[in-house]
Amino acid sequence: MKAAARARSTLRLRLAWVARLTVFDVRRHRAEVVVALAAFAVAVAALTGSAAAYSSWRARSRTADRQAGAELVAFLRDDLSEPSRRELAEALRGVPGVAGVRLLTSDEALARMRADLGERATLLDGVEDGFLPTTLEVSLQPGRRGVERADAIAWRLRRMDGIGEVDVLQTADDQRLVRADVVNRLLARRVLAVGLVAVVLALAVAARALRRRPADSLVLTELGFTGEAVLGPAAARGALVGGAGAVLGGVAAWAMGGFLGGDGTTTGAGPMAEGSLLGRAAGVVGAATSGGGAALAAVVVMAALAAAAGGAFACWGARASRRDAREWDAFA
Amino acid sequence: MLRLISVTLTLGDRTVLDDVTLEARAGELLVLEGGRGAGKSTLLQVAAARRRPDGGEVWIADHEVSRLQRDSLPFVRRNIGVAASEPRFLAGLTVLENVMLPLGARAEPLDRAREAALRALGKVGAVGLSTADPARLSASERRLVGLARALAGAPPLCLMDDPSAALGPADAGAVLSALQGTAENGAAVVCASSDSTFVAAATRVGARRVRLESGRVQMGVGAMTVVAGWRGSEASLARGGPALEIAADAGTHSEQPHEARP
Repeated sequence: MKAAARARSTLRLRLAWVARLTVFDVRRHRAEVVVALAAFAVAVAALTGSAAAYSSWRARSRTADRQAGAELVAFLRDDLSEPSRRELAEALRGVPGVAGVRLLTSDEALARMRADLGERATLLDGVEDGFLPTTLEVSLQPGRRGVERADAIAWRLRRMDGIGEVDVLQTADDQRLVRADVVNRLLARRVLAVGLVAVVLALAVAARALRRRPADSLVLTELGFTGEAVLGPAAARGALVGGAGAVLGGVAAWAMGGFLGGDGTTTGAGPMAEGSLLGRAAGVVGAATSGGGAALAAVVVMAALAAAAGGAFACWGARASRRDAREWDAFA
Repeated sequence: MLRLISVTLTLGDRTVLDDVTLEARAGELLVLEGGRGAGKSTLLQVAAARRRPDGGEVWIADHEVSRLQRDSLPFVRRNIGVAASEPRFLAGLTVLENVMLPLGARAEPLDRAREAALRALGKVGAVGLSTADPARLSASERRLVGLARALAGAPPLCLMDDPSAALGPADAGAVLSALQGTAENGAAVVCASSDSTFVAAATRVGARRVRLESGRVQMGVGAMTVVAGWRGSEASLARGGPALEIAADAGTHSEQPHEARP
C-alpha cells in the first residue's frame, strides 16, 4: 500500500513537472510555436475547404451525369439517307466529350416537342408530318471534357457533313453554374495548394524542433530524467499545437461559411461570390463548409488525435512512476 | 556510498582506466588529483553511471550499477549530483530553472524545488544570478551554477570535476566550504582536481587524497591514502579475490602508508 501511495504521489508530481517542462519548452520557442499553430490552422482550414469543395463539385458532376436529357441537338440535312444518318450518329459518338447520341425521326421529334410544350401543344395543330427534320440528340460527358465545352463541341459538330444546324440547350443559368463549377474547382486546387504549403511549413517547424532535441535530451538524460519525461514535453507541445491549430482552423472555416451564408448543404454548388479573388476564395471555402460538417469533422479528428497522444503519454508516465517507486525502494 | 572495484575502461587503443579500485564513504570528502589525461574526468563519468566500464564493478549505495539496463540508469543518475568541467544548460531557461531541473527528475514539489535551488545557489555565492540567462554567463559563473545544480536537493553522492577551475580564490573558497558542508550533511563528495592549491586546501579541511596517473591509482606517493575502509565485494570474494580487512577508523591500507586524518 505504501509503495502504491508513493507511486500515485510520484505520478502526480511527475505530471506536474512534465507540465512545467512543457511550459518551459513553449516559452523557449514562442516564435516556433506560433508559426506551427498558424500553419496548422491554415492547413486544416484550407484542406477542409478544398476537400469539401472538391467533393461538392464531384457530387454535382455525378448528379449532372445521372440526369436525363441532351445538351445539344443536331439537325440533319433532309437529303441524308437512313444508313448515312446512322453512320453520322456513330461518328458523333466518337467525338471527345460526347456521352451519347440518340437519333430521332421527324415524327419522334414532333412528338417530343408536343410533350415539351405541354398545354401549349395546340400550337402544333395542323403541322404536317415530316415538318421537323431528323435530329440527333447529343448528351455530353460531365466536366471539362463535355458539358463545359458545349459551345466548342457544337462548333465542331456544325462542321461535320450532313449536319445543318446545332442548338446548344444550356440555359443562361446552366452556363453560369458551369462557370461556377470551373471556378470552384480551380479555387479548390489553389486552396489545396495553400493547405499543402502550410502542412510542409508545419513539418519543417517540427523537423527543426526535432533537430534541436538531442542537445536538450542529453542535458535532461544526464540529470536523471527518464526517456518518457524527456519526450513528454515534446509530445505535449505537439498535441497542444495540433489541437489548438485544428480548433482555430475549424472555427475559421466555419466562420467563413457563416459570414457568406452558404446554401446550407454540403452537396450544393457554392455561390460564385462577386468581388475580389479573395472574396471568391472565401466563398468557395465558406460555401463548401457551410453547415460546419466538414470543419467539425476535422476538429473532432484532430482533438481525438491530441487526446490519444495525451493518453498514451499518461500511460507511459504511469508505467515510469510504478518503476520509479520500485527503484526508489531499492535506493531508500 | 561509492565503490569502484577493478574498473577498467579503454577508449580506442588507449587504456584510460586501468584496474582502478576506489571507495568514497558517506560523509566523506575525497579529492582525486592528477595531471592532464590522468583519467580523472573519465573516472567521474563511470562513477556517475554516464559511462559503462569495460571491466570491473561500480557500486553505489550497495547496488551494482555497472550492469544495470539502460532504462534503469535514470534512477541512478537522479541520485547523483554531477558538476562537469563544462556544464550544459537548457537554453531559454533561467539559472534558477536550470538548477531546479535535478529536483524535477526526483519529482520534488515545485515550491520545494525552488527553495532548494535557491539554497544551493546561495551556498556557492551565486544567488544574484538566479534570473540570468545561462548563455550570457561568464565561464566562472557557469562553473558556479553547475556546482549549484549538482548540490541542489542534497543528493547522497556528489561528483565534481575540477570545481575550482576558472574561479578566483574567494569563489574557490566558497565552493570548498559548500562541498565540506555537503559532506558533513552525510553525502559522499568526490572532487577531481588538478589545482594543487585547491587540493591542499581541501586536505586541510579533512579531505582524503587519491592520486591518479595514466589511469592507475598511485600508491605510496607522498602522504596519501589510496583505499580506506572497504571490504572486498561479495562477488569478488566469491571469485577468490582479495578481502582487505581495514581498521574502521584508520583509513589505512594494510600495506601502504597513509596520511593521518585530522
